Amino acid sequence: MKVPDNLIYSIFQNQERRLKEALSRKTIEIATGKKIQNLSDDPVATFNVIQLKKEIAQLSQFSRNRLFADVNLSYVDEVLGRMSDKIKFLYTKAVQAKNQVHTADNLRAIGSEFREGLDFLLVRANERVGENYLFSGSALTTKPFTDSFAYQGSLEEFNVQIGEVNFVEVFPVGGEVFATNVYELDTSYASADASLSISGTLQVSYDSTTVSLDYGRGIWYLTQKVSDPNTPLSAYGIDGDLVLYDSSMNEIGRIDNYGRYSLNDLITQINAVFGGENISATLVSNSDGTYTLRIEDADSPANNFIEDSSRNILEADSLRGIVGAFNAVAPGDVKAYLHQTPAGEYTLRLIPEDVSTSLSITFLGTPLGNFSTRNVFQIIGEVRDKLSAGLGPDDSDLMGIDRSYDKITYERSRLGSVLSQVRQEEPVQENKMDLLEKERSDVEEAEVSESIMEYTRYRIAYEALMRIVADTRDLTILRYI
Amino acid sequence: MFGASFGVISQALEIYRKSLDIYNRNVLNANNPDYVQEDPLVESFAPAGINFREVKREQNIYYLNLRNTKLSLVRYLEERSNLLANVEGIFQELLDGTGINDYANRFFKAYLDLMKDPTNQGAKNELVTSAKALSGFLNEKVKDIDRLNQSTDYTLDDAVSRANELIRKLYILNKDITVGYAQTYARGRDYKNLLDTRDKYLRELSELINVNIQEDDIGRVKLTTSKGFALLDYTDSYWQLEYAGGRLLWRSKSSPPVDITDVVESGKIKALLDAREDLSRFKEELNDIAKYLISTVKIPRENSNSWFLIQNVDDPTLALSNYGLDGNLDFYDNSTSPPTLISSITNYGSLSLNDLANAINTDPALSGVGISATVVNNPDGTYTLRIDVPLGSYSITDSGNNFFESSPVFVGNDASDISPVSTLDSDLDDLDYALTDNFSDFANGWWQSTKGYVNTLISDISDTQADVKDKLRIEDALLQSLDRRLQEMQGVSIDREFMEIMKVRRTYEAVAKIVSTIDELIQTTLNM
Repeated sequence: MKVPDNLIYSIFQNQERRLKEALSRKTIEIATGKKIQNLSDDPVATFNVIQLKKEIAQLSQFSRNRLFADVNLSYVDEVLGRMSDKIKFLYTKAVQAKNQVHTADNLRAIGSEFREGLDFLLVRANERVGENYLFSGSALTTKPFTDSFAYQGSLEEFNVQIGEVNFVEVFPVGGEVFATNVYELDTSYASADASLSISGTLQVSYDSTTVSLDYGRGIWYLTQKVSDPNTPLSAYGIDGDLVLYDSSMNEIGRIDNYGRYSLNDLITQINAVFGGENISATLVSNSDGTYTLRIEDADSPANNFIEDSSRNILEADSLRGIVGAFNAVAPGDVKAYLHQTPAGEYTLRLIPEDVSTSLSITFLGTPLGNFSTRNVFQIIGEVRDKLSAGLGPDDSDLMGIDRSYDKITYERSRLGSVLSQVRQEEPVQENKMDLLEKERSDVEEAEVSESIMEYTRYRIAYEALMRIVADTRDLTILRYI
Repeated sequence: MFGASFGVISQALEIYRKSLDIYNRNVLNANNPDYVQEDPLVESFAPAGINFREVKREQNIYYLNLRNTKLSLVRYLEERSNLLANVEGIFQELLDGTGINDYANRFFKAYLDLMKDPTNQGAKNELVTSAKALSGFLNEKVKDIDRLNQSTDYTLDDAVSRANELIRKLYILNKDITVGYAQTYARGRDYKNLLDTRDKYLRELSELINVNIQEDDIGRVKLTTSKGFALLDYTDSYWQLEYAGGRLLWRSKSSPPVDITDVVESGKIKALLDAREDLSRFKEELNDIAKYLISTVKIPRENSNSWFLIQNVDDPTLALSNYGLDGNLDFYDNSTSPPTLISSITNYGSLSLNDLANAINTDPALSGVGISATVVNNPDGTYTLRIDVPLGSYSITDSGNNFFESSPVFVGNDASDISPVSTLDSDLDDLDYALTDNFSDFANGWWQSTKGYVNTLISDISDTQADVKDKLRIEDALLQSLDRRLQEMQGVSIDREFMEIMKVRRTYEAVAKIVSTIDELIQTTLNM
């Protein structure tokens, strides 16, 4: 076979080109540390690189969001912690003011502490991080509470995305965080014992329980409850004389020392002794398994009066009577309180035992007024105003402050669990990021030691080729002529 | 008797000198790839000595044709691969921070950053900057593709001119071969150096466009390209090509030009034609990204007074429930406290986009206060609905959470003119913070889809180039194999030529010796 000179050259040229290409590729690989230099080097790897870049960018953004949530929620937690400490301090002061004998000036001095405390609480509630108020929900730049404690932020919380389907609340709705379930009647009376001159039924519903209470002239309730209607009332510390009067306040009947009767026996006694005046007594079975007594004058209008020398049985015609009656017929998880306003008048508060229980309050007949909830600042503000007016706090005030503390603690705990969820995301995201980076590195980055070995191999091959070229060209007949 | 002998010897010496010339010519052209080894054919012409029959050319036209066809294909793949490498250079997806994916990621990160912290001025600035960077990047890439396209056009024009020039030269060469053949017919037909030039032209032409070659007895050629479009008919005629309006035309002498763009199969011209299609396709894919961004990306607004259906639909005549869209639209007059409900459209999922727009525009309670709806034809071919309300006094609520007061981030028609809306800066000061979580969620969808469009473009570039490079690797190896075979047949081995030269030289010396011997014989005879 003939081997033309040109063929030898072209074979060497091709070999040289291929080796040079390989050398050049390996040189770039070592210099850049990347094993794919062009999109077409490995379309599958290119696709993966783009996919991984996007996922890494997205995950890093979610990590930034998580950090943002972490920082802000931590600050919210700290603020709520300081607020709850302050409320605890104010509660101690309120207890002192209620339980010790104080002059009006002493009360005013405590009032000034309340003023400072309230200012502190309001400033904390109106705190912001950067441009964002902590407690305005999604109305980030709106100051949450006015000086008169009205909430003016958004009713929607501000959420931040920390995962593809994972949103967390970062800026809560202040109107909810500082709202309490202290329900206060908007009608007030100069005296707690004054007749309301209206009648109707108060219905309070919560969870699956409904409490109904009739109020008005001619309706009396035993303001305490007993666990056994057949046990003498004295066993519960209940005793007294029950006297029935006609409309001119002439005594027309009497049951002395009713503590010797059980509830059932007392009912029998009342029906026997007062029945002639159209007075009837009934046993009230409460949903918590307790019992109480309801007495009604069936005449319309009621024309008899019943007086209990021990004031255990009261007519549900005054705020005091309604409070007593309500607490006798309601299970223990909602309580009624007689509440004195800073103006010295009286009104009614309903406060559930549980911080998260909401009440639905309706009326049949003539309503007592409208019930609305008070926020933390309104509750403490009212105590401040009472103290400043020289009035001591009452049980409902203490309960209100206590509820404020509970509510803030409750919200702190709720947001703390969100913060905990945010922090739990950290190792998950970091682990995922490590995996993605490793995957990207596997796809994209060259094994430098391996590349150097291959580079060396190609260099030796190139040098060998050059040697072969020289040797081959030396094999010519020209040398022998 | 001696006189005749001198004549025979003289002719032999001349023939051997000529043979030496041919071998020398072979040696001189040993490194010329288009040169075909020639051999002097000397035959015995006893008793009248030797005769130079012809210069034999060691060529197989079948293999030449085969090599040129393969060469045409390899040049096609090489040229296309080179152009695709330029496109790869435009989209540096593998270098950090330089790819379209990096720009898209930066924009969407800035978007999510702002949705996370919408009051942060730095986040607003970053969104504006990244939106400008992304749109600027797309503008630049389109310009780069356009520049490549223009350059391809210019190169195509040049390549077609060069092909025409070669066809014309081959036509002239066919005539020269005829003349050369006639002139050297009686002297060994030594015109075959013309055939080397012919082979060179044929090789160059094959690199430009695929041709079928037919050779006649004396070496003239007839050329056709795919589907029999004639380019050269021996010495009778030749045809020219023309590149106009992005098409390759075959110019017939008697009829209008014929478009053979889709007929040619290989060569540089075909590569450039295909590259134009590649570039056009890449540009469209780049436009798809821009169109999608323009059509989709929006920000939640508090006082834009325009409510958009956030999800775009393909068909404005199809009931919206087909796209999973339904709800009730309530229109409020905010000038009263609380706001007054002025009209409602319930279960709009039963309506098409056009019907919903019509329902709003024909509702006297709405049109009476200046509320209007417009079906927006998006650049990406989808549709959405924009409801405009008079400044400040009216609002819309949607129980289906499909309509939101918002405004677009980008404006334009495609990648060449995409830009952030001119009011983006001030629009970002009017963000509705209550909707940022919804829009953050939407952004994940946009981001994913945008990445899909980017992937389509990048995969198209990488797959096309990888496919071309793969084919090139295989076809180049086949070409080299054919080239070797051809070289084995027609190439020159210097060693062999020197052996032949030595043989001829010795023969020449021997013949020359006869002259001196005869001379001595004559002298001896004369001295007798």
